[in-house]
Amino acid sequence: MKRFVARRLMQGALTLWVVSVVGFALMSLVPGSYFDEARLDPRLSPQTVEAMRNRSGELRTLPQRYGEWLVSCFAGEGGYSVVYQVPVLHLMLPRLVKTAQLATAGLALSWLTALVLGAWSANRAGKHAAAVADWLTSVLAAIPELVLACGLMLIGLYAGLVREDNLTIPALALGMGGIPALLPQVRAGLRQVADAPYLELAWAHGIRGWRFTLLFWLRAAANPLLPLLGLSVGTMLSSSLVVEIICGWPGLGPLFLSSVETRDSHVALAVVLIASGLLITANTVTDILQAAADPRIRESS
Amino acid sequence: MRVRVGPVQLLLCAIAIYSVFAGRLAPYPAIREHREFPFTPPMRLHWAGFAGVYYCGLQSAGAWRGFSEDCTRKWQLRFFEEGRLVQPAKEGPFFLLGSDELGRDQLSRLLEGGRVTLSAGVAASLLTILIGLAIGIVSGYRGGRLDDLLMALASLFLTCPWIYLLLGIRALLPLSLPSEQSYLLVLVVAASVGWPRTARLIRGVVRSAREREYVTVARSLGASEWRIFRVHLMPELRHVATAQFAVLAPQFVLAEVTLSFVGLGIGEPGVSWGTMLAGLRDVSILLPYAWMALPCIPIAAVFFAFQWVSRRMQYTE
Amino acid sequence: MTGRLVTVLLFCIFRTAAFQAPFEPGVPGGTLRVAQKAEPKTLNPLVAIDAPSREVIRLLHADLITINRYTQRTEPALAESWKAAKDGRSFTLALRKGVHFSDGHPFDADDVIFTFQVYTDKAVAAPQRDLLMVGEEPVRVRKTGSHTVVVTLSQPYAAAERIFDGIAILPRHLLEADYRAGRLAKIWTVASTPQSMAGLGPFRFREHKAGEWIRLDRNPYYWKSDANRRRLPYFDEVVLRATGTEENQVIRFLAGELDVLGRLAARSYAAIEQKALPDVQLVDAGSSLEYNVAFFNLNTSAPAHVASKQTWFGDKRFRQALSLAADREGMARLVYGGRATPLWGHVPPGNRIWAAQDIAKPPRSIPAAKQILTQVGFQWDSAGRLLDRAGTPVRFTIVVSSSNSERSRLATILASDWRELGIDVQVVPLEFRALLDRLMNSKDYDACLLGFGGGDADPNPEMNIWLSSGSMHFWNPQQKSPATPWEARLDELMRRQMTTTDFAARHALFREVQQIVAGERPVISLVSPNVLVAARRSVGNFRPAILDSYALWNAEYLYRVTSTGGLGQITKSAQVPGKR
Repeated sequence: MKRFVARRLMQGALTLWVVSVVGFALMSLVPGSYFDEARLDPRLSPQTVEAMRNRSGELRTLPQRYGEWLVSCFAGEGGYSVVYQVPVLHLMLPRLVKTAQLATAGLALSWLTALVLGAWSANRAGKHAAAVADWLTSVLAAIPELVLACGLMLIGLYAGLVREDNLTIPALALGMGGIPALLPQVRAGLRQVADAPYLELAWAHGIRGWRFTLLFWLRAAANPLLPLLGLSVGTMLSSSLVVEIICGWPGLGPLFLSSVETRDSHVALAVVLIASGLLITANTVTDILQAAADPRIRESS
Repeated sequence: MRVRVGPVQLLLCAIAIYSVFAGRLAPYPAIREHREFPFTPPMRLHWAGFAGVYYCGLQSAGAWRGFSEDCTRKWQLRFFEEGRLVQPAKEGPFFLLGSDELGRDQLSRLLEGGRVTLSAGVAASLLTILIGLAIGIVSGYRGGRLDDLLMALASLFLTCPWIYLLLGIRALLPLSLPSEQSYLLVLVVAASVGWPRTARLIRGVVRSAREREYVTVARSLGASEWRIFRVHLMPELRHVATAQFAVLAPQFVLAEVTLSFVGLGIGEPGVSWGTMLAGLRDVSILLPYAWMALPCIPIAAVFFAFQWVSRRMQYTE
Repeated sequence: MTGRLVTVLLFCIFRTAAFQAPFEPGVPGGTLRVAQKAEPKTLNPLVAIDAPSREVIRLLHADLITINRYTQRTEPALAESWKAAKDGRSFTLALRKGVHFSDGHPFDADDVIFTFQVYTDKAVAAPQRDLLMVGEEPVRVRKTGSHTVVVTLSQPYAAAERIFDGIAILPRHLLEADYRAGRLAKIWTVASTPQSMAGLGPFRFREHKAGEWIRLDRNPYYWKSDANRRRLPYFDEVVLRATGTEENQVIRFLAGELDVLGRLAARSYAAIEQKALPDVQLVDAGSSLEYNVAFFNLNTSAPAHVASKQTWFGDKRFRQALSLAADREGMARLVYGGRATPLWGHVPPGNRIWAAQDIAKPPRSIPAAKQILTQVGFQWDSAGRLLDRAGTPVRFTIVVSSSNSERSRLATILASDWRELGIDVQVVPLEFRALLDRLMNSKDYDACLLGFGGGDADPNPEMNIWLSSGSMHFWNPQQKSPATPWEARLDELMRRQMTTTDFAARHALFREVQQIVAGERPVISLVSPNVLVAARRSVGNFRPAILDSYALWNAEYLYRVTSTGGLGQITKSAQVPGKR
């Protein structure tokens, strides 16, 4: 087990490193610099702009810049923003908290809906529920995320929900957007184990209703559902990007967008690394949990 | 091999037919501006019995202050003339879904935009599926070292900041390329780095199919690998791939919305569904001109069709 | 409609008189909540190049001589009075006495000396440095008393007192050590503590929440007081909230979360206006200093595929014909809902002092444009395509920034106007920095639509645009020697106006510049958008100006109207143009 964990961690670290190298290379493909903005101001001479660029270290070679970034990472700064003139970590942490808040609320909403509707519709008795779940999935999947978020913002405006720090609208947008991808898979997962002898036994013992669902069914379905949960946690950063921008939620999404626009490479790279780190961690943790639950997986890897 | 007409084939045919005839269905060319009629609300059709259908003139209430119907002037809608389905009168414009800020017909933009968007979305998702199929089959079939390597590559591809590649490519493309074409190129690049999920799915299918008893039996009976692949794997893969297509195509259609945040969409004056949807972000349009959101309904309907197809694929499994 | 037009006209006349009513005495206390589209990147005036940062810095610091945003003329700030020497090369400034920085440290001539030393230091590379360079030499500041300084220029410089505007006076007692250590670029970030900062502005920095807001509180040592000798500012706090996008700004304003919207897009303005909220004042401050122009690539170093088109672009009559075809009125009406001014010359009418009145304003005419093209030897084929003398179809692309939706719509209109001439024009929206890269580095573009201006009303800051050697002489920048006789003439006129101290003479010189630009059309001026702002009605003394920072230039005088007693006056001041 320990070897398995260690191997996964090593793999994860290697992937992150490769992502940072590739990311740096890709960023150098894009023309333009933050200081171009100053070049459009007639009050500044090109010499001054050049001096600013020089000071920011932008004019050094790619390996040099990558080296500086690595040094800064090992110094615990996570890079240095040319735009804000502060260590990236300082910009990242408060926004990461905000994104985590939103993502947690959104995930909770979509998972709760998916589990309730999934359990209900995967149930032998839930014929109507299946239809409801089907239609909900199709309708929500047909509405583009952007339209959903904008519509909710307008509703929120009339309902008085557009307030500072009010999670309702962005969480609703994120949660509803997540349901169509989740619901069919959750239902499939639940149905897959529905005929397990273990459940039949519980049923035969007269265990019914929520007790049956929570204590027996969901536990039995952990194996197909855990990787799903891992995937939705791992991709929460990328999925909340659009919602954050539209709802003006001050998380990592708007920061990533503006860092792409202003060519603030260390900041953008930090967001990318956080996102991939999250994905890798989530995958590893689900693998470990699955392995702990099912010895066959441990053996085969 | 017999070609079965499934829902996907139907959908593709519908898209192809639509793409060919979109220009003829639209009352106006998509970029035609009626500068006197910005933000016209959807216009009413009046029935005149056997005389056909007519529509009324418009009375402006000042810049951005709306229009009212003025039925002292009215024109007849003509059908099937000059190669178009509907032919409004030259003297007075006709906007069934209203007009946008430059007085361009929303209906024509919707029809024309769908052509660009759907063909780009279909092309991109086909490309992704092809790459995903190739890598997934190789990975699942060969297994071992190559499988490990390909799957590691997949997780790397999932996390790399490809947006920079797209930005870089878009910046380097020659300007003489029309924006629709450069968008298509950007999308093709996006599609060619978007294979990992599909590849993983396919690999899983291949691996589980290979383990099945009847495959083992077939192999032990001396069936060639190619035959096993063709007879036992192909039908299953075709199924997965078509279902995947129905999921991917709307995603690529919507990709433009996200890409337009960083200026990678088609943009003015080009027309596509992505551009139309991205424009809806502007509350200052939606608040006074709520009907500008009308094109969402047909767009959502098309996505619903894709959704329906993918569901059908799942049920027939 | 006509009624509104008359109000606008009356307002313009009223404004041209540059008369400024005194601010009414306000009530202290309260919090002002201001929207910013993006979050400020830094609080350091020595590195700030983005608009939100500059807006905050303006609230934290003060300058010696300031440009009154309303009258567009200079007035005393930290320098109580100033006197120019006869040769126009030196100024004696008498500094205000008894002034303290926001941390209580007294202000004197040494701070001014230090400030100018820092700004003009090449190693610091401050964005203000080039403004303080006159004739390739930095201005020199000498102390002649504890509160008098003498500023010397290497050559006579017109409107020299205007260069002091926006030069934030820095606290020597806090920054000298950092300056000696060469650390000035890294101080006063958004992560810095309030204790490490001090300024002479009406507010001081208190707290920053990354990505959300920045909170300033009242500077208790501020040196201005109102007519009742009450120390300004009135507001206890200013919260600047970063909303991320224009749309969010509008939604949050409508939701009652914000008091002031700095500068609005015309459509947001119309949307708020349409809601007719009783507690909102909308102000159309009139034509801004910005001007949208289209220009052609005339670079000698342009790539070959552009060079082949330069035979068309280089012909003045081709440019004139294309200018004639542009539907400026349509642009103002469709893109800005009428809240913009069509432009024929490059100086917008908002620049009341400098805009020449006698620029010809030929109405849009496709036949006239076609006639000019025919005279130059262009012709049309049977399909209506425009062919040049060699029979090549005329086709080119216009690049425009995709992040500015108003400007990309201008490009759409312009392109379809030019298509009416039979030209195959395509608009290419590009991401902003990718566009600048083509413009300034690769020179790989045909035509471009860009917005200029917004800084100062005076012509001097725009030297870089009109001098043929300038880096922003976009159509053909940094020429060794002027490529055309009219560019040589522009150089001469611009250089002469810079060193002429007589206003009337300068005015005549700059008028000729405007006429040459309007005649030769190196840039095709299109429209100048109006400055549009919105605020709650409860914000008193709200008088937006067309110079930056539009709504907050008199932040120290703004106050919260609490009782109904003050409301009558507020409603009156809000009845500026556009509203009933």
